[in-house]
Amino acid sequence: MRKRRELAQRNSVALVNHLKQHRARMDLTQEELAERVGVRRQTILAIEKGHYVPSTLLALLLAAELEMNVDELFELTREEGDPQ
Amino acid sequence: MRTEMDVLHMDERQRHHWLEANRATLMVVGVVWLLMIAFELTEGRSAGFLIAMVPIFAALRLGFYYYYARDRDIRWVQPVLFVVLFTIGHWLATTIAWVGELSTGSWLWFVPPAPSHGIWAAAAQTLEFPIIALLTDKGADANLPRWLEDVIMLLNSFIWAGTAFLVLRAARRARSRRRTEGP
Repeated sequence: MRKRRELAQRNSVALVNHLKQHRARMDLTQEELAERVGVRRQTILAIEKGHYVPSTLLALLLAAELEMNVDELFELTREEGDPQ
Repeated sequence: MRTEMDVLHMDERQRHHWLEANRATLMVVGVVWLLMIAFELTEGRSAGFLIAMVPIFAALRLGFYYYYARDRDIRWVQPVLFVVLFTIGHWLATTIAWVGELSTGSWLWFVPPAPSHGIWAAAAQTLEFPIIALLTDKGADANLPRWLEDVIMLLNSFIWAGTAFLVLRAARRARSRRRTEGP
């Protein structure tokens, strides 16, 4: 149990995305981007605000629409207080 | 399989929240179910069916989890799921047959009025086999407490489910044996 908790702490990472900036770069509204990848506008909003983590499929679709790689659009950062 | 989420054209975030809502609803239903058991007991009634369904629902939930998680190495899940669902189906069929048999008039055109009750009586007699039919034949069902009636009814359905499972398994094995032996 303790080992599992330690492992979880070591792996505590946060997902940040640059969707808003790149959407603006492509001059797309949330509505337009949503329509292109087949989701609701609210889903784009939720992803931009970090309230929702998209599936791999949606992440790939978003990256393709914004003409970039997924790891440029989404990145992992270590949580504060993480020793590593 | 097409689900209600497909019909409503939900995207993946909506599906996620829809399933979260299902979970919350299920928890509320669980609490209401427990309150119904408590109410029945305080009223001095047996609540046998309500109590008996608690472990069945728990088993169903576990079974569906393993089914959807595709943990195929756990071999007992599918047989258990089959037996539980068959038991519930048989129990429901028996209940419907009794409703039809005891009904005194037509009900939403579903239960025909007398004298068409014969078909319901025949269905009930068939579905009551073996335990309930045996008890009725011996006249031993008259003085049974309500909770014991519920347990016997579920046990009767369980016997049907177990038999169906064994028959199907034997048929499947025979078919696969024929295939491996070849022409």
